[in-house]
Parts: sequence; structure tokens; C-alpha cells
Amino acid sequence: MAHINIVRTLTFVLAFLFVTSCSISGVAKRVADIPMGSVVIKEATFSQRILPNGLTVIFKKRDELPLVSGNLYIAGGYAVGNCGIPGLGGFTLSQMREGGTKNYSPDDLDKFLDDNAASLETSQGEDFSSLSFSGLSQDFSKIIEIFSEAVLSPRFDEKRLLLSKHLMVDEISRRKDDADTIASLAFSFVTYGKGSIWYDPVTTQSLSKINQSAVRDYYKGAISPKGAYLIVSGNIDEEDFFTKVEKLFSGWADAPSGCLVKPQTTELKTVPSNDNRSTIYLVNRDFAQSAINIGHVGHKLTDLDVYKMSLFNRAFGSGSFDSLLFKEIRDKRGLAYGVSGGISATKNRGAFIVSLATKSNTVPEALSAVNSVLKDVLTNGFSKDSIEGAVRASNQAFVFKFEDPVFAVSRPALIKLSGLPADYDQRFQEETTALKNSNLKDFSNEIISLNKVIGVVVGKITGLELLEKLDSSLYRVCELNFTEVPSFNKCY
Amino acid sequence: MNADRNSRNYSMMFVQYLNFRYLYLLCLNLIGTCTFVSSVFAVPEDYASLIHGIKKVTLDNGFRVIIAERHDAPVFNAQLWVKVGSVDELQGKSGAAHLLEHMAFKGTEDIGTKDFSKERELLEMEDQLIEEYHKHPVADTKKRLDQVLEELELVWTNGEFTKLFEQRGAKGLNAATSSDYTMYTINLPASELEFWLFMESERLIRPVFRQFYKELQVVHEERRMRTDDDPSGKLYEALLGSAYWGHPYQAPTIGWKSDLNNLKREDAKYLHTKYYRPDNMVAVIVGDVDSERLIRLANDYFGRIPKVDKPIESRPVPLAAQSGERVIKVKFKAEPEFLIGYHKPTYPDPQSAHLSLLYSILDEGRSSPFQKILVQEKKVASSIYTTEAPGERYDPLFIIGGTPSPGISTEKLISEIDSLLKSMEVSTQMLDAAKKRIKVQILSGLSSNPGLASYLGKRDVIYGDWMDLFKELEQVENTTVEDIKLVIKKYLISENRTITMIDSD
Repeated sequence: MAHINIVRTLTFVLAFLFVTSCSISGVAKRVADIPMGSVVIKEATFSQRILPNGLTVIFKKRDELPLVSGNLYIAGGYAVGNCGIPGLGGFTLSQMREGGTKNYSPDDLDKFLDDNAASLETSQGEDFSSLSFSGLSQDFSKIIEIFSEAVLSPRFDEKRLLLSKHLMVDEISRRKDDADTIASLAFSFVTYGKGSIWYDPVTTQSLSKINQSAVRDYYKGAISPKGAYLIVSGNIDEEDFFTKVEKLFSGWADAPSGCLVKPQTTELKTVPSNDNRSTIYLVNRDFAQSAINIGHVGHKLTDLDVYKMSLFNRAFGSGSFDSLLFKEIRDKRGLAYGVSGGISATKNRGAFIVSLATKSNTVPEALSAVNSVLKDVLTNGFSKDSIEGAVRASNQAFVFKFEDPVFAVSRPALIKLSGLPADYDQRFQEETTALKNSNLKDFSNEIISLNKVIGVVVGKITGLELLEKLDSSLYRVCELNFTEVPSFNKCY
Repeated sequence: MNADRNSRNYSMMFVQYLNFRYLYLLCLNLIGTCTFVSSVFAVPEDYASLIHGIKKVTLDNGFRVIIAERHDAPVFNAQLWVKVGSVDELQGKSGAAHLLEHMAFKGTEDIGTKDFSKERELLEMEDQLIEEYHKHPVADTKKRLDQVLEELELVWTNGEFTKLFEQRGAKGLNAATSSDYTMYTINLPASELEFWLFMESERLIRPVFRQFYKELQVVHEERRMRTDDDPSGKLYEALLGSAYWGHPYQAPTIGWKSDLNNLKREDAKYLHTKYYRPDNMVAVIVGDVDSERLIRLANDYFGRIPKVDKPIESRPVPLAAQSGERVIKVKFKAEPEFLIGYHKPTYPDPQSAHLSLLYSILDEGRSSPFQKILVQEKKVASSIYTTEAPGERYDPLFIIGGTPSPGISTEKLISEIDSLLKSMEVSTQMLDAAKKRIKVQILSGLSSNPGLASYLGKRDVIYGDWMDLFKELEQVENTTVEDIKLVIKKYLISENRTITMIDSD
């Protein structure tokens, strides 16, 4: 009989337990023990055709769910003008949905969409307008037919137009209930000036000029297939899709009308200051929390290094917990729940803006804190740690631009419509990495001028109260009356 | 239906049969067990391609992990759901669950500090001085408190925890607290799975509630933004406060201002100790991950959270019923606005599903009765909507909200709503359309990683089984016109409601 070698057995058991425990306890002790990885971004696959009228049609097959959706991006946006009637562009877009089509009255259109869980929506931004649809893929034929009618032959029903105007009156009256809305409008007013297309909110007076004729005129000039993109994805047959779209949209002709005017970009010099003090425009309202916007007009997108802009925004204050603004205003001082800042630029205009909200008696501290952050960036630039962190974060997060397969496919179109360079995505990581040893001090000084900075404060504080708590050698305060039509009051 | 669709139906059903008709037990290693749990409930065909392949694992310590692989893009969404919300707060400590959520971003014993042992002493001193100052607010105590804070500032490395996430490519790092639960969410590149597991488990095991009193100031600002200056927020707070007498749903999740002024670090610690335990949490990961690897790592990282054997002590919660209308006018300078809240049952009562359909019938789409009659034809409303709040663990409210048209009083609009509810005919066609809309909404929600993770996580943390989504859908599908008529008669009555409205006079 073989003897069991106790020592050998014990050694084996102990060794087994040791090895097992090592493989089981694979827990890192520190973050640094877990190497940072990288991912391979797959190129988006899609099919594309360009129609003779200039419309680019893109299709992405997705068969995970029985759904279909599409976006039509039309070049232009409200930057192409508004025929002299504020808000006409956005209103016209809304009526392409609300007002029915050639073959569908507004009620019939509503019923079809609601009964079939489909949607048709519109919106207008500065650089482009968009119309979108969604629904079940089994209903695609009907949905795309209705969608094409909304684009090519909207009815602009009179009754619905009047209803929409009626509803807008209420919307206008509610602006004064929100400090952020007032601050945003007031900032545009003092920055661009009354009459500029960049300060052109709808008022009850301008609303009275909107009618069927104005809407039709705007539609004729602004809704064109030239430079437009139709991007559709869903669980439908590709060939069938292109056949239907070509049939429905080939007849869409470009017929520009003359009512659109080019946008103006004016820098307002109201209430001129005789000295170098920054002006704070104050709207005195009974809010527990004051909304603050600080900044000035800046460069257009085409005049900026877009990669430096992206890195600056991340490091300075746009959506990052690690940004200078967030760390100073929220983390260190606890002054605000939300704070953001950076460059906002389009093909036509640009601005540098910081926005935050804080209780009224800490407004002076918040203004001073923002001022000191600005001074620090202009004098010293960003720290090495800050820039390296922002570069790393930007590059690691780059993959999220392609997270949604449909959005990934839409990116080239959106990049073109926005005025970014066509190879923006291709160059992004390389260009961003190349900035890792810079401190962006020169760039910061190109885009921020302390002597141009103005502020808007909307809150429960008077001009004198505010000035008492600020350094009067650096600031002056001007009161702004903000009803539907703003006007300047006195300065201190 | 074409032939292709029919054959796909058959193969899908077969797959469902294999995966969901049997209970599987799988021992992964000596430490933990994982179970693939099936339900005897059949997944509807439209969801099958999405749901097939979802795995749920329960670790030895009770921690649950749900995984759905999707390989469209090299990213994943990870959510941690904890079954603790404002309903679990002690009297006088409203806002503590939300503040605890804020604390979860402040780091751990290693992250966010240069010297934890020194910091720990200073934090204890801070707590003592705060206690002292609350009792006797004298200048000397304040001065000592400021000194301790100055020393703490030297030890803290502000924002280190969130910075680490961002540098790994995090997108949408966020969290939310509701009446019922707390949820943490993040999107990361697929290469950072172990990093997420490390960070998430570390902040569960070794959190440090630093910068508590400064963060309280931030929460006060958040309250001003969401409630004090917002007419809708004020109405909502008044609605819950008046509809839920003596019920934990009464307190706002952000906290009453007076409670916030008195919150202490120990209040957040109390909730953390009691509720942030492995059997009270579920992690959901959706995206470009390998399930096997993830399960192994989950065992390593989440498996080390100590098990707690004693069940959570629950307190009795009264019924939220009321037997008479309550009308609250909220004095506030703003345009007219209102909310009406009717008490309703929660899931699994099938009438909850009937009422879900009623939301859609009443208000969804421009051809719905509310939109068509009140907004378009009679022009008594500028806006009107239906919703449900504040939660699902207890009976919530069926809410109708809106704004009257210029020149129309709130009372007039409410009276029009009452008339409409009494006279409205509900047809089979309206009901079928509502069922279709709910289905499409859910399908659309499931199509994104965070959307799918939310559906799975919420149901699993509240009901213990993510598959409850389909049980609810079955209730929706089985609803008849008579069911709808019955719930209107039973619940949407004045004796069962609370109205709050803005009074700007």
C-alpha cells in the first residue's frame, strides 16, 4: 500500500491555496496599477447618394429594433436672415409641422402620427434648420411620404398659424419668470444691440407681423435642397429606401426669394464709459438666486484655431469637473451649483461668455472670483497639469463622438454645416496632442480682453448695493429695465 | 407579416424557450457563485433581439450585476442603483440622501487627500465645532472652525476623484437622487472597465465625506434654482407636502430649507451605513464588454464589499389616501400655473398600468383630448400635460399640470378639465394607439446604452427583478376600455385630489 506523503500533500495544498488566492485577489491597490487603455474607433459604414438638386441622402441600416428615424438638415438657419420679422424663421419651421400638408389637413396629420406612434418635429439653429421624423419601420412608406410633403408642400393652415401665435403670446409673458432667460436676452441686447439679428427675440409686436404670406415668403427663400442632408437609419430595406426617397425628393427645387437679408454683427457701444472700468448691467428682480453672464463679443469660428478653442473650453470651464471655473467657483467657494464658461463661435459670430447663478448676496464675490480666474489665465496661462489633463481627457473621450452609430454617420454633415474644417475629426487627436506642452496663454489673450468684458446680473439687488460691495475703481453698475423691450436706466 | 418575419419569430421564440424557461446554476469559483436566473415570463417578440443575452449575476454578498453586451461602438455605460431615496430619511433630516449622493464624488481614503490620517482628525474636529456652533453660535467657535477649514484645504486635493474619471475619457459622469433610489451613471471607453470597477467599489467601501459643509452651500444653490425661484418647483413641493400628510413622500428630495440648515455629516453617514450595503444595490453595465471577464472582475471588486446579514429595518408607512379635496394657493410672482395630483396605486396593481395608458390617451399627441379640446378648440390652456410622481415604491400621484391661456383663470381651466374627464368617450382605437405609443417609447429608450441600463437598473433595484418591465408591459397590453373607464371614475375625482396653483395677487 502506498503511503501518503503528508509533507508533499500539505505542500501541494498550500501551494494550491496560495496560487488560487493570488489569482482570486486580482484587485488593484491604486488607480496607477490599472493601465489606461485605448480603443479602436470603427469607421462608420453607410450608403450615400447625391440627388441632382443637391440633396445628399445617407442611409444607415440598423436592425436591432423595429424602428426608423431620420433628420433633414437644411443649410442656413436663422443666420440667413428673417425678412425683417424677428422669429419668423423658427415660426415657419414650426408651421411646416403644425400647419398640415398638401394632402393632410393639420388634424389628419396629427391623427396619423398619434395613432401610429410616429413623430415629426422641426427646429431652427443659427447655421441650419432641421426637420426630423421617427416611427415604426413597418410604417416607413407612409411616414416618408408625409415627411416629404411637410418639406415640399406644407399647407401653412391659417387656423393653426393663429393658434401658434396665440400660444407664443403666453410664452413671451413667461420669460420674466426665469432669471436665466432674462440674463441671456439681456446679455445679447447689451452685446449686439437692438436691431441686430443676434438680439432679435420675438415680441408681441413682432408677432403681429407674422402671417401666412410672410411665412410662405420665408419658406420659399430658406428651404432649399442645396447643401441639405437627409440622414435616415432603421430596420428597412436599403434599395427600397433610396427608391422611395429619390421619387419623393427629386422634385424639390431651389427657388430663392428675395426677402432674406444678410445678418448684421454689430458691437454695441451703448452707455459709453469714459474710463476703463468694466460695466455690470443690472436687472433688479425678486429672485432668490441671481443669474450672471459675463463676457464680450469675440471671434468667428473661421478666425479661430478650433483645436485650441476645444482645449481651452475644456480646461477653462465647459462641462468639466476639472475646469478652472468649476474648481474655483463651486469646489473651492461653494458659490454655485452650475457654472460654465468658454468660447461660443459660429461661422458668423463669436463670443466669450461665463454663466453662473448664485444667491444675491454672494454676487459681488462671484464677480470678483471670475475676474481673478480671467486675470490668472491671461497672465499665466494654464498650468502644465491642467493642460495635460485636458489633452488626455479630450483624447480619451474622442470615441464618444462616434458612440451612436447614427450620430457618427451624421457628423460629416454637421461639421460642414457648422463651418468646422472638413477634416476636423481626422485631425482632432493629433492636433490636441500637439498642444500638450503649451499653456494657451497667447491664445487666451487673443480671445479675452479684460477691458471689453461686461457683465449682466439679474437678481434681487440694487445698483448702489452692488457697487458698494465691488471695487468701484474696477466696476461701474448700470441699471437695465427689462420688460419685453429693454432700455437703459441710470449708471453708478 | 412576411415569411421572413414569421421564421424569425419562430427562432426567437425557441431561443427564448432555451434561455428563459429554465433556471441555471453556475459556480464560477470557490468564492462566489453566479446565477443565471430566468423568468417563466416570455419576452415579447419586438424586444427579443435586445433582451436575449442579458445576464444577471448575484454575488455571495448579495450584490447584483446585470450585463448587456453591445458592440456597436467601443464604449460602455455603467450605472449603480441603490435602493435609498428621500423616503428613507429620518424626520428632520430631509435632503440627506441627496447630499450623500454629492459626497460620493468627493473621493476615498486614498483619492482626494494628501494625508488621510491627518484629515480624519481634522474632520472630527470640524464635526465637533459644527455641533458646538449650532448650539452656541459665538465668534470664537466660528474662528476655530475657519482655522480647521484652512488646515483641511491644505490636505485636500480638490476634484481628484472626478478628474481621474475624466482623464480616462468619462462622458456624462453624473448621479440622481429621487424619492425611491439613488443612481450613479457614467460612460467610459471600453478599455476602462477595470478602472470603473475599482473606482466604483472603492467609493462604496472607503468613502470620505469631505467638504460636507461647503457642499451644503452648493445644495442650497441647487434648491434655489429648482424650487425657490421656479414656479413649477414651488408648486410641486407644495403638492407633495399637501397630498402626503405624514407620509415619507411628503418631504422634497432636495430637502426642506430648515432641514438643510441643520444637516450634519453623521446624517449622511447614517444613510450610507444602513443602505449602501451589497444586497441593496445593483450595478448595470451595457456596452462593449465581455461578460465573462466582467463577472470575474465584479467578483473581485464588488465581492469584497462586506456582506450584511441582518435585514434592513423598515418602518411602517401609512397609506397615502385622502378623503377630501385639498386646494393650496402658492403666493409667488409668476404667471398662472397649476398642478393636480390624484392618488393612484403603484405596480404590481394592474390599475397602475391602466393609468399609464390613461396618461397617453389624455395628453399624448396633438390629437389627444387635452391638446385638441383644451388647447386648440376651446383655447383655455396654453399648455397641459400628464405625468406621475414622486416614485413607485409607494402609491404615487397621477398628475395633471398646465398653464391657462391669457385671460383664463386657473379655476376655469380646472373646471374644463373636470368636464372633459366626465364626458370623454374612450374608444378601442384610442386605447390601441396609446398601447402602440408606449411600446415605441420603450423601444426607443432601450436603443441607447444608458437607456437600456436605466430600464434594467430601476426595475431591479425597486422590484428585485428587471424582467418586471415585461410583466408591466403585459398588464398594459391586457388593459381594456372598461378598465380605463373604471380608473377614471375611481381615481380622477375631486375627493382624491390635491390642487396647487400660483397666486400672484
